[in-house]
Amino acid sequence: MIYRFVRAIWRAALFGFFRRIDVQGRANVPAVGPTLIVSNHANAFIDGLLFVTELERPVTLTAKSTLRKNPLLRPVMRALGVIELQRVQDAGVGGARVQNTDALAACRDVLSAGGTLVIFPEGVSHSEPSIRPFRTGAARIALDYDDERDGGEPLRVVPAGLHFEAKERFRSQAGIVFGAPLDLTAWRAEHPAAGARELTAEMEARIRAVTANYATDRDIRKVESAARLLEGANAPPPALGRETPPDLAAHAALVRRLQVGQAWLAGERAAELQSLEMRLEKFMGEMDRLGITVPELFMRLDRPSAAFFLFRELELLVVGSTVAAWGTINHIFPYSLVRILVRNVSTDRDHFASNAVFMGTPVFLLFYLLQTAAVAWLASPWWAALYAVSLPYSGAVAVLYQDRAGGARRRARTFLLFRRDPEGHQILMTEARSILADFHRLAAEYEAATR
Amino acid sequence: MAPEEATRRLHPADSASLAILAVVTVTLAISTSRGADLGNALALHAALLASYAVISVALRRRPATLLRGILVVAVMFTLYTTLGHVAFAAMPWIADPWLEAADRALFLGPSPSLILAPLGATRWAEILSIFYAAFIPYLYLSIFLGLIGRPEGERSEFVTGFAVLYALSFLGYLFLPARGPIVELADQFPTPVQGGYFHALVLRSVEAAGGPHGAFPSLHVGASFYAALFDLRQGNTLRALIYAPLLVLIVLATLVLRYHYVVDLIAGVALALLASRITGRRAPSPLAAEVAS
Repeated sequence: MIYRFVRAIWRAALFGFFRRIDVQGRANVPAVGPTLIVSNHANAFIDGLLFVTELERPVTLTAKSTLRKNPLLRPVMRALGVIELQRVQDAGVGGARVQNTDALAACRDVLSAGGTLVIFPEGVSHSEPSIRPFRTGAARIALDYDDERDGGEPLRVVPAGLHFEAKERFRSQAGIVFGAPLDLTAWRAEHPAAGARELTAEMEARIRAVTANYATDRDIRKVESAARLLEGANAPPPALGRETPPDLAAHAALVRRLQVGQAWLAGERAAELQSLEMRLEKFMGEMDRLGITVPELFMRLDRPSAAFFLFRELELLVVGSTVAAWGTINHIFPYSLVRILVRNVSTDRDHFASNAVFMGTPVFLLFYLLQTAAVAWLASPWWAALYAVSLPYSGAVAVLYQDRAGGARRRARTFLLFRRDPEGHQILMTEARSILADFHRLAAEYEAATR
Repeated sequence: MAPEEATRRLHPADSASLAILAVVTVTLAISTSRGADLGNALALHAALLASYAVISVALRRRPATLLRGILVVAVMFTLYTTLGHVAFAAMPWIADPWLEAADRALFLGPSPSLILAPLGATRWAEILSIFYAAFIPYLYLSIFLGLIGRPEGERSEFVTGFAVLYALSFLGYLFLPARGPIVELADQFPTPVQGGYFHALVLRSVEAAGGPHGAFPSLHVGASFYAALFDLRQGNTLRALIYAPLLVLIVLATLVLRYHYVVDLIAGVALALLASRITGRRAPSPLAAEVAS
């Protein structure tokens, strides 16, 4: 009951922070039975919350024991039943390392009861371009359960990849990809000599398969630009509000293919690679300067399509304007306060979202309480009740409305830009198609060379 | 629907439309044979059935054509205007007393229509009349946006749900003919509904359609909820949320203006959920399809 209540609150908080959260491969998480979810760790406490809010079955999180020092996190950790793990580097800071015996027993209890445990084998949240070396804790927990289960149900280990569009940005996108589960008993039968180290390597390989990893930050820009062009070219953008969920697993696979191709070209035809990278960088730089996404380059520019777009967007923006304005007015103070707090407190990229969600939730709840009390005092309890209901509702409309209005404004601006400068539009499209043709030619040559 | 399957099978929206037309035609034929004066209505509905059967066979190869959507809407709106009246002549009973009894059972004795009666004599009657009337532009807008500018699969899904909702609702219109509390409880209301311009507009519209009829289930509520559920399923959360207050006010308006019993509203919501669920199963979203795989 408490878990469900807390989950509902966090769902609302994450709905407010992220523009969309996409989940792929949810069916890979068994509906029942002991399950260990292992994941990359890129966005501090948000990562755990994503599993809590996006999975129907309750999950038990694990976290470094030092987190309980945070007064905002302590009650959340207690409410969610988080198991605290003592890390090697924290020994002497938060307590003696011997506490992991209890943590291990607690993990075993969760799994023995058929529960789901979430663990981040990297041991720390980070903003590095690739996943960090794994610690063996997750594997040891899995093996410990398997050794002790005594006829109990076999453990399924589910790899998960967390994806963030821009984790330090409000109203950005997030996603989870669940990979195929690993039946630990079957895996151990196939690898009788394997221990924690081998299982950790297996987990890491499976998490790499559902995440995009890069050598350097510069590599992110290069490879992501290529991936964006390949994924978005030659198809007009979907209607606003009806975007299909991004295929995160396919994106991760595309990134890996591009990296393989990049490495091959670097060894075989370095000059050609450099030339292609420069063209791509120049092209994407121009697109970014104009504020255009790749699919928008291929948007329909005929008048009937534009008229229908205008009709569809105006219907929403006109009808929704009153509620959105009500929502904006009633949330302007808590929103501004949280923004100031988060900007002052956040020292790195991977704590921005956590700070926003953990500070925002109590601040918004407090303001709701105060504002409702004020209405009850000024009007009547009935009006106060109606007002209280209107707050979360109008707040949700306000954020969705602003997303939609932003999207409509951007599409309209792009449309007008291309209508005014058809030659510039044509040049951009020709360059996009030319770069794509080079990609496809090189892919074919790579296939032929490595066959 | 796979292409080869599409050539063999009728589209589910066509099946639903043909089924309700067949039920209506057979019912009218039986009633006519028993002496009811429904010859013209029988001829009209039989002609509709035959025409639609021919068209639906011709459209088997085009599962997502816009034409089907227009035809389904036209047939359902035609039935909406005809069924309310012929049902009273075709059925040997009137369902108003049963629906009123069901309402009283729901509220453990008192009639909710009578409980809300005093609101009909306040300015709420006029305010709610505006929202009752706003159902029409909302419905037409939702149909327009459900049919135009959509991928074929979504349009097909919208049309199927719309056909299923209306077909099931018309079973209620036909077999449980009712005029609503405004007629059934007319002598028990302390005062008539006292509105202004918009209430007069609503009254004129209802009279133009032949007076109150087709109380069970409420299509005002059913169609509004279906449109909102369709938006939600297609990821257009903003549109569903923006119109949510209108849905609540339409529900309240149907009661305060005395056109529906509470059970009509419950049935309308239930049918909207059912239609949405049926079409949702038929055409899973890309994400749902991915999850299922």
